[in-house]
Amino acid sequence: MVRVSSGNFSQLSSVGKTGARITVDRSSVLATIEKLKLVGSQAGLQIGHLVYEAGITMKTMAEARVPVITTNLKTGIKGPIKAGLYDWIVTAASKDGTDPTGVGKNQKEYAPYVEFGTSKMAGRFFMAAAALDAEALIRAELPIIAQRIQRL
Amino acid sequence: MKEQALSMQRVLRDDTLVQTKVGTDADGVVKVYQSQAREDTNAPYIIVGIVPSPGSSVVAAYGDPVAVEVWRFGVSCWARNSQEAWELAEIANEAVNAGDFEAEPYTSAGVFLRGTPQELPDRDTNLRQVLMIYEMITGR
Repeated sequence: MVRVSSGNFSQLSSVGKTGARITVDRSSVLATIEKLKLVGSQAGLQIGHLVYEAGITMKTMAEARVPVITTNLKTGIKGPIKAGLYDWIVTAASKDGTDPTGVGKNQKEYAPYVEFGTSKMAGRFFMAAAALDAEALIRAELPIIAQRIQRL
Repeated sequence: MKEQALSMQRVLRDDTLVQTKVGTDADGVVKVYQSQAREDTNAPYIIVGIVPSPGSSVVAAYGDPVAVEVWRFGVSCWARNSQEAWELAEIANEAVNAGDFEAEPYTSAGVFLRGTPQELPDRDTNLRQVLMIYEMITGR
């Protein structure tokens, strides 16, 4: 709470001095600091959840976009793996995958050829597109988080 | 999306240095292709691939609604060896930076290299590719 006053302030000298005064309650300042702490922790928590959710989305979208013949590559999409506080990685490797029929199990790694293409095949960019899907989710959700935090 | 991919292909084909580096195919066309090269084409050549994008967003500027759309392309520079692939990538990047990407009814707000170019081997041949991902921002 802020209070403003003017007049003679006798506590400043024996004769008193004319002046103006502005005071903020110490309890209000402490309450504001506590609220800022809450905002900081809530922002960190909610953005953390959002980035993890984006990691899940990246994996789901990669699985949805990857071309499938044997399911080696689709089942070889792993993650999200934590790389930092707000940093998640999804990987794709045909060698990490499993083919339930066992017929098409491929011992060679071919994920980069599907993603980036070869001289005989166009790149599908399924991982790049999945990352863009995740980025779009973050861009859409951040303003909602900002609004939520403003209401605290 | 087709217009943007065509404008990327046009910019690369129109560049004199790219023309000199990649040459022309049997039909006399500068060897810059969409998605995949002609089967009878020899390296060096350039492929423009489309990275599927989530979609556009509409923003309002001074009361007029403007659709701002972001398009992404993979530009693959295929060559017979690593050095040639990187030389071609540098030339292609300069062509893109200097290019005019206007494609009616879109107004281009710029084309930017995203991430770091990377060299990759080929599965079926000894060719090398240097891949660059570009982001094109348009309004209409």
